[in-house]
Amino acid sequence: MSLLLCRQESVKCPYYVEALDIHLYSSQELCYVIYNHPFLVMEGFVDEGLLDFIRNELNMGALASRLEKLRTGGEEPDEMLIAILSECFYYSPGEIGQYRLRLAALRKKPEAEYEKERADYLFGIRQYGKALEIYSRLAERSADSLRDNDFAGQVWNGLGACYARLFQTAKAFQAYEKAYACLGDEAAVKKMYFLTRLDPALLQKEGPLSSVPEEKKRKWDGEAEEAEEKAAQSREILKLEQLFGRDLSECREEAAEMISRWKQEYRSMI
Amino acid sequence: MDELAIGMDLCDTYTKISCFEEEKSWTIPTVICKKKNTDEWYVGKEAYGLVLTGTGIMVDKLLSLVMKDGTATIEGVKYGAAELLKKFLERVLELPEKEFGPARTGHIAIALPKTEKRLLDVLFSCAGSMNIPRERFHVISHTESFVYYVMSQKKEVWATQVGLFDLSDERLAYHELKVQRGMKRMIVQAETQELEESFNLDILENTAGARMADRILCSCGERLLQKKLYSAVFLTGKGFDRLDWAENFRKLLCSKRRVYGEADLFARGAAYLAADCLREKTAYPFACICEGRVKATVSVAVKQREREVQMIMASAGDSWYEARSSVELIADGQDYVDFSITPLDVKKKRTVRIPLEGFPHRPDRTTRLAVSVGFLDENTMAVAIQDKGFGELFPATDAVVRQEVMI
Repeated sequence: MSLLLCRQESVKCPYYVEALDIHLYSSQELCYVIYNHPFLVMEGFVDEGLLDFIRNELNMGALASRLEKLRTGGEEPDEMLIAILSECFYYSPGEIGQYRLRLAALRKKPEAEYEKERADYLFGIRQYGKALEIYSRLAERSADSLRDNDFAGQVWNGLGACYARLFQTAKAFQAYEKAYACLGDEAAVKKMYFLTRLDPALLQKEGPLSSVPEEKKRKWDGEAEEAEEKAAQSREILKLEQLFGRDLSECREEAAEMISRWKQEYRSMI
Repeated sequence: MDELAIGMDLCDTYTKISCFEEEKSWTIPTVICKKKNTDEWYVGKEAYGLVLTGTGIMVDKLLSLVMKDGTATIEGVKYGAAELLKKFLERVLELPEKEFGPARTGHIAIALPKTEKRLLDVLFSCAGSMNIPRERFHVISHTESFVYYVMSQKKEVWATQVGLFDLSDERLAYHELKVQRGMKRMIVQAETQELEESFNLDILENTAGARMADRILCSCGERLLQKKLYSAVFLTGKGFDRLDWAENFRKLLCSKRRVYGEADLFARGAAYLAADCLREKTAYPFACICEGRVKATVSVAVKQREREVQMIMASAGDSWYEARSSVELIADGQDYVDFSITPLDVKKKRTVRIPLEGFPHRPDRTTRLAVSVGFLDENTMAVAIQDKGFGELFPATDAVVRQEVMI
């Protein structure tokens, strides 16, 4: 337990991390992102823009020069991340050591596994478009090149989740169908059923859904209704309802702002 | 020195002005007078002259007026105390300027009997509106002025303890100073006691009254000076302008002690400080612990580059009015801030813990704290700790903890 003394950093132009949709205003925030988002920073994170930020905004010229040397010398990219963490003194040497091991362990993973974990991470930070690209690439590989059925099933499952989040219900349905084929897991069927609630055209006479007993379907319906009720009480929905209740001429600007935010949110997902 | 260092002893009834290395000094009543039907303002003899001829309206006790945030209505116009004090100071500062040339004013130091926040605020605001740069205007206590006066004398004067009796219309006070050597930095500690036995100086005008005053001072002297070794004792104030009434007190003081009389001691002490500000390197390389100064060092243990260090927020000897500092810290697994308060006697060191009540729960090292420290008076530290969040990752909230800590 302690109090860390902050460096005096008068950042005028913060550094924008597009994947997280946040601006960084300090060396501590930069270290936090590097440490907590390894998949985000392991590939090409240290670029010209970041070096400019470190040199001009954080006023850490020596670190920027060192990073530049490492970058042009084609050194291990992880070394650049370690150099940033070490120079900022936000994490202890012990924690930096653990981080180094974590990066090394990730690098050692078989390529497909690494890629899948990366896609899972991107899905976790709502980067569905980027995650979808990786899952698709993995799914496209022949069944032999994937380690086993379980792994393939997880990939199809991830792909289905990405399509569903991007409102591409038909593609999501197909992906879950393939996930079920690999895993034989009821969870995939349940998701397919939920998709049919959104898009009834997906209902098929044949396929895994057809063998689900009516009793189970009723139970799933209950779960879905409960989730819908909960969602209806969310702050965003309540705000939207309030907006609809008002005269359009009064809230035109607010509505435009909301739509523009949704568009921006959706674009950042793909 | 090309520039003039002005020292001023500003009291409720009188004001003394003295300049460093200049013999001439001024004593004038702390009053301001407006000449009727004009916008002309006068101080000193001219003010009294106008009142005697019935052509002026006078306001006295300007410091008391400021302290109670009072006003004075003259010819139907209401004047605030701060405005009247400013007019007074403008005219008083013209005295040395007229004598030595206006372009020469360098630093101005004002000594006050008590450094009250309200009065300090008004004085600094007056200085601002008189276009006196902040760094060239200083306000100290009588006690601190006594320190500068004594420490400007030969070493033998302050070899052991130094006492000072101040007898004026306003009060009878005793100041005592001692120098502590052998530490990293020399420390001068001075204390002041306002004595309850003060009396009106008018009683000195008759024999019985003078005898009683002598007895009062003797009793104070015996109580305060006994069993202590003094290298010097000083007398100042209007009451000691003459000493024929205090025969027994004089005998008591002069027994095996060097006694000095200095009518303008506080104004001269202030002038020594003003002169020191003109130097590149101070002639007073000591920490001064006295009225108007912080009596303990306040620090916070922080981690910097993996090493634990004490971050000093205020040092013993800093002017409480000017001692304020801010620092940004990141809480790593702790929901409180500990302040170490270390007086000169390190055995009395203590820790004051301020819990971060109402702050949001976040992962370790994702709460930036803006810690600010200031003083309400020399004994009361005001602490504010504000949640600054952690950038856009964990946005700041309006959580803030404020606490007053007795030093």
